[in-house]
Amino acid sequence: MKAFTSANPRDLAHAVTLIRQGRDANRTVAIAGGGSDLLGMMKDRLVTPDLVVHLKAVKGLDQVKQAKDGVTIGGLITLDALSAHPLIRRQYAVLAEAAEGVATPQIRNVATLAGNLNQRPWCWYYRNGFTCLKNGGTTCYSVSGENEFHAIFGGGPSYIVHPSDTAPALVALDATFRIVGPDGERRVPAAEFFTLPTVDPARENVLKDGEVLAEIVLPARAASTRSTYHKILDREAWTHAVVSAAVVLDMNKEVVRAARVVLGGVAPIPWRLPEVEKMLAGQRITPALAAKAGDAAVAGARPLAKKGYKVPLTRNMVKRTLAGFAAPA
Amino acid sequence: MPKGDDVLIGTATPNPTVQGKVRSTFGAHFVEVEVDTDLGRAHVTKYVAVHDCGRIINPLTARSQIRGGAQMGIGMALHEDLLYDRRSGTPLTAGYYGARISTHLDAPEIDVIFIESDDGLGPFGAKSMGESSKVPAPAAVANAVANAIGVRMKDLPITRDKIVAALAARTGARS
Repeated sequence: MKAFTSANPRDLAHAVTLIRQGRDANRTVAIAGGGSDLLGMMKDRLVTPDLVVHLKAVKGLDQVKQAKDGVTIGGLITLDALSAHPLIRRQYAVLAEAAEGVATPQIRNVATLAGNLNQRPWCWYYRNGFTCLKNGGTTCYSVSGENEFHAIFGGGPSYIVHPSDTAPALVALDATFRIVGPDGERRVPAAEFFTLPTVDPARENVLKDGEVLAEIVLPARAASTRSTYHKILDREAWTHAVVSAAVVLDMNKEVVRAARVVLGGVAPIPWRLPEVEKMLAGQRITPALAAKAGDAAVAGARPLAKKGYKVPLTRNMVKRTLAGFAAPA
Repeated sequence: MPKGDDVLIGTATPNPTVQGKVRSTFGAHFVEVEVDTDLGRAHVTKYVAVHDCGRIINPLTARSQIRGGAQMGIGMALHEDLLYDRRSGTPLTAGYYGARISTHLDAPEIDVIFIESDDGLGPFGAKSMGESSKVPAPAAVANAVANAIGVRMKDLPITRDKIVAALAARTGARS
């Protein structure tokens, strides 16, 4: 690992100042929350920062706070604390379930929500240091190589899948991200935070160099909201999603008033399914409707050579997740 | 076999034959799997390993040794894989994360039964054990998967993509 300086600011304003000063002095700056992804990337020399600004000492950003129009979650909350929080479990089950399905207990104890959303892709070409689009090159090696786990939606020129479990949950919950940077503060809806490779193949989101994802704001949810997160792994624990589904249903008794269905593991961004959402609105969920929704979910899938199996997997995943909400016959 | 106050002397040789005889160790494994045909997940629900390793000197560590080998075989059967980039030869799935080795949640309860044969040739009546339990494990898991879904898998690991594709091919052939 290359030698680096570590800085531990106590508040966000100080953190942003340190980041800006480092950049002005022509030093490469990395930002760490729990550091569980960054440390591994530094050891593998995928990133070689001169300065690591570690946010762990920043006060007050690891809380869930209830506001009158919703809930604010600090970006530094650990995935473990997030998944165990009573308010999140009760009102935003999809987020609690997504957080508790990440990696392993050891990682969830240190990894933060903001870090989970900003982790770099886990494509094996990128992580093994190939000079691909994500590593400053001009090729996506998965296209003609090993691509079992790559994108079936929204791919090109890079075919990575977005690795975060919490990202589809937050898009499904219509969350807003509060971003703090050298030029001040801005708010971005979760769905617009993540960007396709056509925008910039080297990046996965709108975060600019030196910006910090500070807080996530969730709108208030009616008590009748039902939500869940289902994840398929390729062993029983500690893999990213092969396919996952975040479903949030605003219910009026047994009828769906409005739906959000967002997939993980299948596209370079959390992949919303507006056609499926429209299909569910105003309906009672039945096994037949769930099957129809599963078919509609994969209507636009474009698999590369080795991942045709992800299409039936996605169809069956959507079908099963929705069927879980079917009223007992 | 030794009795009472007998003094025991062990010997070892790189050519373990006595009077032209070879000591062999034997094992048979019995596996129950559950396969989710929609999502292609295969999961071992019950596992029994029966071994003849001669006299068992330390039952606790002997059982653990058999369980460890069987667990390696289950991982090899269901998810461990080392993929290479064909242009450069670089391994793509190295390491604990990449190679998909078994986690605690992948480990089923493994019952171990020893049949302590007495061929009298080994030290204290013992025979070799090593990772002999890894040998039958992948075949036993693969047999159980074939028994569950009616399609025989011919290469390891038997991952979700292969199960889903095999079942789709079978359904396609019928319709």
